[in-house]
Amino acid sequence: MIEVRNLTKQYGSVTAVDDISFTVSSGQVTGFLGPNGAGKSTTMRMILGLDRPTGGSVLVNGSPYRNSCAPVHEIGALLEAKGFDKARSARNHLIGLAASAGIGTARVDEVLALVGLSDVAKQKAGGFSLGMGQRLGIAVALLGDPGIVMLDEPVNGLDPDGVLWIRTLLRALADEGRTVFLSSHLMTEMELIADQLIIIGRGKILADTSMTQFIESWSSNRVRVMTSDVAALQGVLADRAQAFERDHHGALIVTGLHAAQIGQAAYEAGLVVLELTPLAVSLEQAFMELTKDSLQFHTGEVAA
Amino acid sequence: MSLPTHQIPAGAGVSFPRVVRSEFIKLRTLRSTWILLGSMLALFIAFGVIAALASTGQINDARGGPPQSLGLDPVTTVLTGAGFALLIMAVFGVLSGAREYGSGMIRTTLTFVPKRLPVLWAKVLVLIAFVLPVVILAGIGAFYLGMAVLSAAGDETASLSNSSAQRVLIGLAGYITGMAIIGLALGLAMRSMPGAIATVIGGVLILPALLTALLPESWRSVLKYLPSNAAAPFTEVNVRADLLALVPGIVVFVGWVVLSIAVAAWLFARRDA
Ligand SMILES: Nc1ncnc2c1ncn2[C@@H]1O[C@H](COP(=O)(O)OP(=O)(O)O)[C@@H](O)[C@H]1O
Ligand SMILES: [Mg+2]
Repeated sequence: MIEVRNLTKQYGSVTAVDDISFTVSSGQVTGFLGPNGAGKSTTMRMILGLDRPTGGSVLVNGSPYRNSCAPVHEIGALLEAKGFDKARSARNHLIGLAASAGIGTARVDEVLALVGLSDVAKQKAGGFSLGMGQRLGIAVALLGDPGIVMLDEPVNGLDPDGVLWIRTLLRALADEGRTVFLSSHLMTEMELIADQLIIIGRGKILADTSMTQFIESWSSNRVRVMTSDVAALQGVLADRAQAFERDHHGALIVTGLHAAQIGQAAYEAGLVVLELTPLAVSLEQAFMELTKDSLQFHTGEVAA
Repeated sequence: MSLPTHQIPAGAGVSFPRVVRSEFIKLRTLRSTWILLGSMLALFIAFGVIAALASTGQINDARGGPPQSLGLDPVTTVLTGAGFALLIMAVFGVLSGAREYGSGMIRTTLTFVPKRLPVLWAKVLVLIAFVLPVVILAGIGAFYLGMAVLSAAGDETASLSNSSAQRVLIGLAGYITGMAIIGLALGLAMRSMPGAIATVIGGVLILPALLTALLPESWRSVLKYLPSNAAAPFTEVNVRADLLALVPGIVVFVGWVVLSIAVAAWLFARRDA
């Protein structure tokens, strides 16, 4: 379990993380979603004690990471930067790190096999492709067989094969009962893997909810109705709906009511309903909607 | 419902001996370590032999004229390579302090050892373990081979039982190792190899000369406290009269080493990685 309490980080005048609190619960995949520059990497570095918080605190399994006697047995991490020396072989990189935690070479060879690097283990890590480097980073994260695995943008820059591999691996780790905490700036990544969703923008938490709830709250919001008398239906719904729009087919778009409520109201008013469609918002759209105010770099409006 | 907490195996975890072992493996598995140590050993000995040959007249100067006597005592002559060894080991120290910052490896290291200071102490111990034996070996090698050249030519030699030879050999080993530690401290504090290399080399080679030229006469007495001058009483055969005596020299030089490590430790423990 990771508990973040009122965490703040300022770099000079930049507030990278602004008084955030959340909990990453055990045995789940928690997605940490936010646009570039939202503060995800900074938060993860503070969880590991690499960056010192300006305010607030983080507990990993109940105590600060720094105080842990067996840190990498509690939480294994893959951070943004490569984090290995180009001149060292993959195996020596792992052996050196493992030694500090009392982990032997048998486990090193095990994780090398697990991430599929056994054949290139004696090659210099500097010659690795992006995907191989990422696998090496994941091997490092898994060395201590940790209960929590924390990965910062693990699929960034990977080819489709690599993305699929990571997704499968994360699912397997979660199925083994591990806590998985991963960040991404892509909603599409989260949709496929996360049970729990924490959305961050400009250093502030914008949403902290289960994936199911998130989907529910964003998909059933708008309903498209085709009816014999649009004006009459609008009149009937006026005091209950949040907003009305017309689309270019002349259909009414109702915001704030479920399809069933609209159907019932139309029936009671004696109106013929020709079509009734809940408009599913794609999660990507929902994410964009949530974070549009917190984007660091607005793209200019496209002229119509 | 709460899930069973993940079990950490008995005996697992960080301890200082393990951190030392980790740092030892990390340094051993870099080819640059062996290149720097090997070239230090080779140059220390080679320059001693060349200087001995030159002083016996077996190497003529470039214009083919008669050899000039270097006018040095035999111990100083055969240890001519110490200056190169010093620079190479200072660079080695900087490398072991700053290298991990260049690659982002430092964050991985500190994820494994989040308490930080044990990493610094382990780096210092491991650096000493690599540098000191090789410097001693190189010094003794230069001494014996150089003296063999001198004695073959019938020139004056000195033996290892000579007390000033012992002082200088042990002193040089300590000085060179100490400068490697200062290099490590600077590398860790500055987090950049070029900057730290420039600082350590500038501090040893350029600063004393620069200050001698710039400081007013009445201020000259501070020069003897610079690391390189403080080391002179235990690294040179004939020590200039205006420098420190042996024990104060040792104290001041060790003071520099301790100060540099203390500053590096203070920064390392507090800063964002
Ligand atoms: N070491 C640092 N020094 C100064 N500013 C930083 C540093 N690290 C991050 N920032 C700034 O903090 C903000 C959050 O960055 P980051 O945590 O990397 O976001 P994300 O990982 O969500 O893309 C950005 O504005 C970034 O420029
Ligand atoms: Mg990031």
